[in-house]
Amino acid sequence: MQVDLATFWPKILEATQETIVMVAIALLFAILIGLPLGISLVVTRKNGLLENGPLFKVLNGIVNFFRSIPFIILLVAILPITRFIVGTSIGTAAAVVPLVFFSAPYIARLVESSLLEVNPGVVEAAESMGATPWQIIYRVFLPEALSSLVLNITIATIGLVGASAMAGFVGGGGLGDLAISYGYQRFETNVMIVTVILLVVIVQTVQTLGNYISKAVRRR
Amino acid sequence: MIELHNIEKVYKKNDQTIRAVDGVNVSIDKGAIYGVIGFSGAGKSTLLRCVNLIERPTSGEVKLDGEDLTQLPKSKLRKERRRIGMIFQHFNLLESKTVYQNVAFPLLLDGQKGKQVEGKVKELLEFVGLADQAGKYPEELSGGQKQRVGIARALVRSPEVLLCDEATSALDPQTTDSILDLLRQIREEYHITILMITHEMQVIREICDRVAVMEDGKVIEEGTVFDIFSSPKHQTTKNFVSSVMNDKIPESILQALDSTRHVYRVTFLREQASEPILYRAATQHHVEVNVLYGQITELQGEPFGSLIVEFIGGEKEIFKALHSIQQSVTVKEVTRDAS
Repeated sequence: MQVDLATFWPKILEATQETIVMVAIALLFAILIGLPLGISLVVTRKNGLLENGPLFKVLNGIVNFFRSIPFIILLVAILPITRFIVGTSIGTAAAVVPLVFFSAPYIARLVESSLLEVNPGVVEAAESMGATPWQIIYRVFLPEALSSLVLNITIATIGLVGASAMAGFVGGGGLGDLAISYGYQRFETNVMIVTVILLVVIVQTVQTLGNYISKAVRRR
Repeated sequence: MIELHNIEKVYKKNDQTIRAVDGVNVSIDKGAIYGVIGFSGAGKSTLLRCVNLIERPTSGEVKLDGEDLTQLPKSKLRKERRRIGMIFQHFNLLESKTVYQNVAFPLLLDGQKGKQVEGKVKELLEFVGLADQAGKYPEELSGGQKQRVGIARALVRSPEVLLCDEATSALDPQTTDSILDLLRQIREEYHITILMITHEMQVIREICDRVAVMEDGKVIEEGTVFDIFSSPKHQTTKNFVSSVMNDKIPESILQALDSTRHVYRVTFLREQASEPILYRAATQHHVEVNVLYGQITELQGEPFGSLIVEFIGGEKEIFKALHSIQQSVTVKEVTRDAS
């Protein structure tokens, strides 16, 4: 029994919107957490600007811990935390919390690798000028790594789109949920095809946009 | 101006203790261009970084105008670093910023803005000859131009000291000459004390007043460039000198030496070179002089000669002739075994 796509269309639109909102909000918070975390991983490491072995080990351990939990398990495991933060454990808002927990450590790692690409000689030059660690972070590390940061955040965004498909488990909705509940569980091939096409379009758009911005901030 | 007392830098690497800098004492006068030469791994780069404490020495004192920088708290040290500009072998420019922004960068760190910054940056870009490149990015520049940006950036705060870390080692000979010219100009116009490390003896020859030779973390020889070039003592120093002087006496001449001949190396500098010293001594004391080998080159823009001269005549006359020459030039006997 196939659904009529014409009447089903509003549902697809709504799901698309949910996916975009979920990803956008989760991305925002994941960057807010992941960026400082990634910077901390770079500056506290051995021979870093603010070398701090114990702190580095703790942060490194936390990031690895969250990165090793499959998203579907994380989603359920942190339900109490989700309820504490957003007041409910179901719905789109409730899906955002585990998405942030999933994405922030990932972004931290990506930020870390972007910043490690910055020429240590330039950091040394800034130190020789008497720059404070904070000045080196926001005047040297971040601008010098900006292009690479944009590309890495693009990767993280696409990862989020993928993870958001599982948000249906907590009633988060979105395209992935639609694909699973209608396309997969009810064998609605049409729905499956349309949602997959839409996901492909979203991913392509995000990647193209990311490439474009990365190039634009890369000087000329 | 700069005094380094007993600088030691010890690293631990895989349970091995490496003494990168091992008890170095150096004193640099205001306005001098001081060179430190050594092969890679000699510790000169670490020593240079000890001056502005990018590398903190394990022990020792770094005195700038009598003030020991190693004793300063971090915030004070950062302020003191404004008095010390630094340029690098690989330039270390911010790739994401234009030439103008790179030169203005130290002022930006100081929180300076507006017309004052613009004036200073323009003045320095003019000085290094890059006024028309202000809007370009480092990747669009040649190596020599990048180093000029580095120099402008180092000078923008009007420092009293300029540290040069192999500043010409990544450049071709022609560009090297132009950068050295610029450094000379800096000393003249801005009265800055320059400390440079290099492994190229021609750099020392071109612009340094004094030089220290480093090996295995230690200074093995130190003196005026003239002294080092005219009578190097340590084998490593001799090797460095002969790398640019070609002052090794050819085998053919050495072979022909015996105890009956009187062969001397005569080295001279500047106005000494313009006087017919050898001729005068020869006619005055009735000996003959014969130049066997040698060359005259430039040391810091002045003529510098190193000649192998044979004196022919009576023992007494030769002794007298040598004595009179020694008043104005350096003379050393040449024997077969020691070149």
